[in-house]
Amino acid sequence: MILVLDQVGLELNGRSILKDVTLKLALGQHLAIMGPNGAGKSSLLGLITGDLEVTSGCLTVFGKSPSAFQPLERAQRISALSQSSELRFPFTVEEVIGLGRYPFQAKAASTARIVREVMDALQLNGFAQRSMLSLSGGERQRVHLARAVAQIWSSPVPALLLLDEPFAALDIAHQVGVRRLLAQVLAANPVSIVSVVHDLGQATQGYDQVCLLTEQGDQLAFGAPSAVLTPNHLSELYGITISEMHYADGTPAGFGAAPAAP
Amino acid sequence: MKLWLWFGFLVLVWALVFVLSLGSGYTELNFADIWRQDSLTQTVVGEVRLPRALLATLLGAGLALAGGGIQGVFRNPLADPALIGISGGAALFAAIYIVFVSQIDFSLLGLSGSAFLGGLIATLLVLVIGGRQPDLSTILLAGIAINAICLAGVGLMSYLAPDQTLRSVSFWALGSFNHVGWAEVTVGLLVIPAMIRLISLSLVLDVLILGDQEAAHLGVSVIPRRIEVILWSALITGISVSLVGIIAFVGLIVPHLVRMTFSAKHVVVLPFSAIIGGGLLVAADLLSRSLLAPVELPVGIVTTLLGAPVFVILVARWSKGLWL
Repeated sequence: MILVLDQVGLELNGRSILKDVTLKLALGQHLAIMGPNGAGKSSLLGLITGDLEVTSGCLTVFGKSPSAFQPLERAQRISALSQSSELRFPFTVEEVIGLGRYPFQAKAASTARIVREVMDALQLNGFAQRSMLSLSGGERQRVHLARAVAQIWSSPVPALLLLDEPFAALDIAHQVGVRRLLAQVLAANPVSIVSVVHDLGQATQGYDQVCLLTEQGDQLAFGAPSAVLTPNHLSELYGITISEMHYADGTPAGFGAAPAAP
Repeated sequence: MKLWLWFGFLVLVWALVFVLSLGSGYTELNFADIWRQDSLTQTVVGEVRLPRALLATLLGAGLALAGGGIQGVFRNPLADPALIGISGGAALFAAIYIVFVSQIDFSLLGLSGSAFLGGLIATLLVLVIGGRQPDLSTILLAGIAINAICLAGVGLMSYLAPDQTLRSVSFWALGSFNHVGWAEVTVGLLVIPAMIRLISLSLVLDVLILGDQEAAHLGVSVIPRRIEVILWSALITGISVSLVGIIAFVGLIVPHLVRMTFSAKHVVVLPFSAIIGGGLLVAADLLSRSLLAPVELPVGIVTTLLGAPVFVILVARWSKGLWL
């Protein structure tokens, strides 16, 4: 198992953020964490990166507590995309993606090769020499995603990619592009992915496991998407009526809020 | 490859300004004269102009490079050791050293050490006031407050100082190479190891610019590295202030110029800032000697006259949301 959480709880400043979160993630799987605003989804990622420490229960990544890693050793195995940071320096796209290879302290040539491959995969080639300051919010987000992906690209050992709202500022075409990239990352590397996601529209696509967190940070359900993502669960989670939608041919098309009664 | 050519070109420009500064002044010497072995040339060049130009090179390089480091560590391309109060703190502690310690036991090293401590305290104050990732206006406001306190303190000290001529407020506030000799150059050499260490931290500075959390996720020990950059930058600033007073804007403008022209990577920004800063300060010193010759202006006036208008333009652009 890449990641094991056993009855994990987190308190910050006396306030309970997460309670009794129990889940397991195997190599090659993609786990989605969903829940309303303030459910502690980002804090859960913070526990896995070692930014935060569990207050109860047990959390192991690659069989160890996150705090048991040396900083560089951890960065070689766990890559994280935070919600977008402000960059005020005119670094080029290529340079920012290259920083994702910092933990490996490798030769410039091998860094350049990986940067090129990741830019190919994310269709950022045309941007290589552009300054970050000249990019739109969505473009910047894709560059930071590319940096996080570069960090675990062609990893010789199992690695973990943590993504905090990777689709937030992206239009639908780029959302599809990023989904394809993540599938490609999973197929080509010994990697597992944990994503915090908001959009229920395409929620069922591409995830192997789903963890639902309530507003109080309780775990409502964990398991395969077909079992966990049900109108009942989601309605309970968000406190409004949510129904499953279907395409004309009957295949599932995600979830949506029922229209308000006139 | 192209960057190396540019660097070579900048070294040539520096060398040219350096030789020019050896020849210019009250006693005009042409290129051939400079190398003569007579006693006049040996005094004018060997004892006065050469140490002066060497120290201007060392401190200009150091200040510009420290500015680049401070901007990186504050994640703010408009930070500068003088603007945010490091130099003010250094000046105050240097003045305190002169008034209270120098009568017992004066040494240039002690003076520099005291200035370093003052600069360090001022930087920590900025961090305390502004929090971990202070925005530009917070940094500048904190700098205004710290500078005001420090310069008032320097003014107070100057009334208590035994030697009025060298220890005046204007010396600390405006900077001058007027009194520089070989002893100052020897202490000035201390900026070299600090510069080398900062350059070796280039990649870490690149990563730190992404944000504390991002840097930690990339395996950088954020707090120790950040403190280290501040320490070396404060050391350079402290040495510089203790030897020649506050020289503003070199550390602000030069790294900015390098980022706009060449690259934002610190492995480029720091060495290029050093060579340009060195040449710039030698040129500014030359200007300060020749603009109103035979009267000599404080060199800080020249750098401020050159730098402040650029700073105004940068702030105006910043207020429109443009960082360059």
